[in-house]
Amino acid sequence: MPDGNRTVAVLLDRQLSASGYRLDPVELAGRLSDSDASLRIKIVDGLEADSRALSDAVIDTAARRVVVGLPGQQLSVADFQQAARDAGIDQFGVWPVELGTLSCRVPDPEDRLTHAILTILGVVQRARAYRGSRQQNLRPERPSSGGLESLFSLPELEYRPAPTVRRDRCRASKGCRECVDGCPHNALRIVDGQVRLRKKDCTSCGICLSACPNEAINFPTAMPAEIDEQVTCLLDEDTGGPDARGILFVCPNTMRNLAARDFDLSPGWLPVEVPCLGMLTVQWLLAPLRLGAGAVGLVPCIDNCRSGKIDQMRQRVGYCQALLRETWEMPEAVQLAPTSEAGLRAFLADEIAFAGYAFEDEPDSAFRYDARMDVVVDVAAADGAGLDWSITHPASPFASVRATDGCTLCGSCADACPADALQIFSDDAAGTTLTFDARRCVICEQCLPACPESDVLHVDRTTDLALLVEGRTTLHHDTVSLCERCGKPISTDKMMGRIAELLGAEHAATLNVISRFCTNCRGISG
Amino acid sequence: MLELASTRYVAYRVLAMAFLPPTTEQVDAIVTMSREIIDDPIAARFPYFPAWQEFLLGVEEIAHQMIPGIHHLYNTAFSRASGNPGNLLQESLHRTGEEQDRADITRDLVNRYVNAGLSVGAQSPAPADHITVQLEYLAVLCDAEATGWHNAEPGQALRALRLNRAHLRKHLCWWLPGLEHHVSLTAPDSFYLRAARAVTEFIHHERDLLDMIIQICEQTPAPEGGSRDA
Repeated sequence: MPDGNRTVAVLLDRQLSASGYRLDPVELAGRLSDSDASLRIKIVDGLEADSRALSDAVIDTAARRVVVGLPGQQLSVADFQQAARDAGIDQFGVWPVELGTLSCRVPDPEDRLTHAILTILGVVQRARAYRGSRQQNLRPERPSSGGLESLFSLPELEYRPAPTVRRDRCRASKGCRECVDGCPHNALRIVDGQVRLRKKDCTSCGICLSACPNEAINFPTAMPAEIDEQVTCLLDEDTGGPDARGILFVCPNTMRNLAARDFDLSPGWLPVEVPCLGMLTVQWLLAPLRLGAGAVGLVPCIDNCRSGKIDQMRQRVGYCQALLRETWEMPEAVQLAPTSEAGLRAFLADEIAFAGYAFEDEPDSAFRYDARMDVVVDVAAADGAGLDWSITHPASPFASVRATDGCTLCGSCADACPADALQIFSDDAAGTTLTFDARRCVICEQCLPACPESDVLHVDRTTDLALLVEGRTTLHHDTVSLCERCGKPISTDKMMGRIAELLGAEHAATLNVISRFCTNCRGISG
Repeated sequence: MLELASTRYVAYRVLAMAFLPPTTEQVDAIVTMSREIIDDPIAARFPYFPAWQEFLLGVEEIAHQMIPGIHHLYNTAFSRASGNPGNLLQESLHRTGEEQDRADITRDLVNRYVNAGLSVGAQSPAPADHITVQLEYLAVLCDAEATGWHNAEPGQALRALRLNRAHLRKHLCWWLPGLEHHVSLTAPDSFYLRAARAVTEFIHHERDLLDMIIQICEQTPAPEGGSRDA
């Protein structure tokens, strides 16, 4: 059940000092304690491979969240979850950190230690921000081996996070389909205006979470607040470490791939694990830069990515690079790691060249959907570049909508817009106005089929900074004809012109009535 | 699977008893059962276990309380917040539709019970849509499933599993979260909130677990000369 207890313990495996890993757990524990005196830190034997030792150690901490620093991960996810249950804490309350996979690959001993400290403190902050899960947010992973007979031995089941939808925030009933369209496995569908999840099709990629423009998805262990806390901690200069830091996004597949490889890691690359890199929107890619990072790197799993989002990932990185080329003149600040062995090695070993921009204020949360405009605008303007530019790109998270003169202001597009980006305002005296707010638009393009006219409404995947900053703008305006009898509005003049066009000259008498009287007065006047 | 079905059977029965109006005999029975299962190694393998243990520890606490006190708590927890008479342990009272819709729910439930060979009538401890009756029905299905596994008749077990899942999907998973929310307002930090949490966690886990087991059963080729379907 959800719990907000922020007591965190850190367990360190004594094996970290072994020759292959070269980290002194005693020194690591001391430095961690210096950085955060509230942590309960303990060095334990056999955490990496002994599930009983792990369980006992977790119980012994009496903490609600436990971060476990390990050389590698020989135990299964189920073992860590069992340890959490044994201790009576949340299913995802034990957070393994494979220091052997990344931190231990930093060549310099002092840098290696600092990297491990930052990595652990980052996960500690993420664990603190984790608010717990309910059974609805879990799904059992089917045992990988065997059929019916595998059940007779009742194997340990692994549980993965599964999304739930907050009905008070979800706008599926208004036509929003962002999570449904984003899901790579068709696990989400809309029934009677509500989003439903088929857990058996879900792969816990988290793509629905970052796709939702209404923050209606709850996906424990990867919520924006958790990622935000981790990234902010990793970039905190007070903790020590290199001046130039980059956030390295990895997924569990990536971690497995990297664990089997031999490479050197630059001390500036600080890891943040997310369920799938496909969940990294443009905003999530730029957010670390807004928080002070000098670079953002993605190491995709490529060969066995279950979500198949590699092309989308490339497009999003491409958008960020185009934006950074225009503004920072440094497109490489966001990079997708090369797939070749040599390319990947060089990528991981390269020093981070840029220390990042310092921003005056810190956003409440750079990863929350609400902050997406601020993140893009702030990053774009960080180098002193003006806001008077725009960029058109297939991965642009923002759009600009245009309505040509043929628009009759019927309001169909506004009715279809699930995000209220398009709105229509009517006033007897001032007329009717169609407005657009680029900050709200989610580029679902449902306005296009809703428009009864052809070639009138246009949606461009363009990030126009001036338009974003301006907020709601007028797309089209027209005066309104008033009823000669009662004074009530009849329709916009454009609409009347369109009706005249459709009726033709042979229906002039009908048009005469329609254009002068409202629907209530037509019978009386006729 | 036999052990798992047996564990689930006991869990359904203990939870069913917890939602009956408290009497000395009922509290004694639930305390006895809970002491036997509090450290059940099979339940300890599932994520509802912490909520389950909280509930069982709560049982131990009410064992030392006077029945009128528990009764008062029971009424506070499950009466409607508006003060109107009505026991929110009945599913039909969570449906806001027409009376006819609520009658349909009861009819559907009675049909399910009768199809499982159960008789529904005056001897029942509560109305057909009461949580206790629904959980007892699922306990009966677990028993039938266990018999199927024991007799090496997976078809019988699978039939019981499907009935169980269908009932969870259509009924308990639909309304128990609402009940828990209600109790969190009317009786926070109480034994009955622990019970409501435990049953909500348990039935959601059940639905997912049964989905997985049924999927595996359906994808496993039937034994030669036999049929998996009942």
